[in-house]
Amino acid sequence: MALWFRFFMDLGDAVSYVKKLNIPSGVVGACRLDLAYEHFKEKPHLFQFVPNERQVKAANKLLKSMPQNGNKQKVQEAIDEIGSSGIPMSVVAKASKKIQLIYVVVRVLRGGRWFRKATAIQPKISSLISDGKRGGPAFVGQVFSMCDLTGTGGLGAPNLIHMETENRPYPDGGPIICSPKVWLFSPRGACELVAMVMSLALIASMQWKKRSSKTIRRGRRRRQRGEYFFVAPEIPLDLLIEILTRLPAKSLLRFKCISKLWSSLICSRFFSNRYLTVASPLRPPRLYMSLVDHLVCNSMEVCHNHPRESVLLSSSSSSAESLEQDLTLAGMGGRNMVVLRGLILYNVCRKACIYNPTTTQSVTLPAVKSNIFAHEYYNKSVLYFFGHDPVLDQYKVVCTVAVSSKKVKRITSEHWVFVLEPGGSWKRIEFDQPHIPTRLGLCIKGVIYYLASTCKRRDIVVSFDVRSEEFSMIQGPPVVPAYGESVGFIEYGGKPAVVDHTILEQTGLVDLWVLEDAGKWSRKSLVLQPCQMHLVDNNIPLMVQGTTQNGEIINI
Amino acid sequence: MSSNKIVLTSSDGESFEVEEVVARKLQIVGHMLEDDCVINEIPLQNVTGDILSMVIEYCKTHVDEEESEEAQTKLKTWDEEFMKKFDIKTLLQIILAANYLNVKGLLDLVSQTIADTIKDYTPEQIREVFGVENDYTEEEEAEVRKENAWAFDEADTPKP
Repeated sequence: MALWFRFFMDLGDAVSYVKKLNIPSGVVGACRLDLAYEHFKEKPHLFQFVPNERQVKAANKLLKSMPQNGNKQKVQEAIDEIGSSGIPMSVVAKASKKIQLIYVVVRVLRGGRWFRKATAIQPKISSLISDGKRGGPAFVGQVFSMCDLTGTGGLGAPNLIHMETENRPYPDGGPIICSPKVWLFSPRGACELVAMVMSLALIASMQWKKRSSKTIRRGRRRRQRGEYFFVAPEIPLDLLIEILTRLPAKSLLRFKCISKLWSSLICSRFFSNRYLTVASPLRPPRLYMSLVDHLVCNSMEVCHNHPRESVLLSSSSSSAESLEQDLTLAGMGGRNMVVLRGLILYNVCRKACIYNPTTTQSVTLPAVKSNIFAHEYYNKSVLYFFGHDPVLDQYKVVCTVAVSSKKVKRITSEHWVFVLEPGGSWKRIEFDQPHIPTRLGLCIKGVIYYLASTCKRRDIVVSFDVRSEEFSMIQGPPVVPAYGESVGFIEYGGKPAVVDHTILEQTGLVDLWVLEDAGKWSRKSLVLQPCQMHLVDNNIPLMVQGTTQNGEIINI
Repeated sequence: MSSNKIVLTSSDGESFEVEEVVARKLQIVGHMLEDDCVINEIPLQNVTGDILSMVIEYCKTHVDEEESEEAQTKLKTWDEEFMKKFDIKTLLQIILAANYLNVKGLLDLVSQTIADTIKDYTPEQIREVFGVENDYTEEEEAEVRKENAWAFDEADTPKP
């Protein structure tokens, strides 16, 4: 049986180690140190101590002053000195009496900081597990452990997750089976870490199932192959993820049938989120355009208009200059397209439809059962907003149904939210500020923002917290007139911003109003030089379209 | 710039004498040097001589990363040419070494090169290269293939 514990005296080191393993931050297991100590007593050789910088310094100093054949007494002094700050000396001391901690300490002392770096960074898992195995490399898994000794007061709060791997010899003397098992010591119970352990556990159990079913037959074949042919190196899971996140979606979908482990990895939320953050030349940015030939429906549920025709066009740009239209999807696409984290939301008639261009799957949400929409009103509008809560990793669609009398003297609006998950349904949200949305929404850091008109003179910015599902209202910048059709609403530097170019043609001025954290608007002005004025002096109305990844504003 | 020489020794006993600046590109070595834990010979246990020599070649070329666009383009071209030399099996050895020796730039480059190489592979080829055992039953695999049928359009047609 192989158990592997790695103790970090420095929280920062532990965190960077976990980062290196590609595990979401904040996902750190918990283990009371006395529990860990029980394991330590039993299997001291499986423990590895990773000291912090101060300890290493102290250790180096001591080593220099110590004769080469330093006796136990000296080492004990060394331990004492190293362990002076918040380290559970009682445990270390207790342990050192029973087992040869001295060896460990000396090893760490000799190694110095580079040893720490080397071991902390390099997961030595594969080689460790391979030990004692007679067959070829068999189990590619992650065994990791994590201990935070710098928590509140040393002994009280150390955290540890640990995965255990068993190497059990097969009765027929064939290959050795590894059956991983996840142990979680979590006296304090942090819910995020359970989620992570679950996903690791899932992967581990997939591996385990596989092993238990067909081990004997496969194992023999493998051994034979290993003798004559190339033996694939064990690629640790974090490197595999590093490679797979750079692949095009099509390859990944194909690779789902490689094995259950690969499939569960590729389909996992963790992998999808990583996939979104990695840029790969194999996945150039794409431009989507939707053409719709259809009248706006007068009903939420049934469409009485002529048959609807739509097409979704897509172009990819392999270089900065060229755009090639390479994808035409008839029947897809709709009005009011919004893109969020690789998903596209648009309206089909009055319903919301979400399209995943990566997997080419799409889903149409059920119609909102709004009462006000059925009544006779002069203006009716249904607009959908798309939001993502980064904390719970949840997608939500918000629907604002608004009706108004002629000249917008009276506005009634209703607000609904739909959590994108199996069995989701529309839920009504109360908000006492009736308004009509005038722009498509933005979702920034878990908050949806959109411009809206009220009966009052100035437009407002409505914000919706995706997690708490609460609306609130922010007064628009002083410049935005009611029903201000000409201003643009964009994300600028991670904040919502209003672009006012209403006086561009007369004065060459563009104002950018950025919503700062305290709900205040800050103003930036761009002045066109007289020699550039011909660019805008042609009676073509400009429309602000958004920002590029580099923070440049696109005007059309 | 210091012209101090450092000797790196691979797991199979091959030694390479390199400039200190080059050796520092291997972050694992960089950390050792910072701590003055080594004098001038460093054993690298997890990497063989042939792979280590390639990593060193990469580090030598990337030793001064210049900001200028021209230099960047030149490096990029070199990277591409450098990677062309290797087959997938060598690439997997290099990614393990780059990870162990902690050479960030090379790790990114090799990850991308492997992705480029395997993107059109069939599942069978992937299993072979990565040593993955197929744990699906025939029916299960057929089901997964059916669900993702469009992803198999071109891949299953043999490459010329």
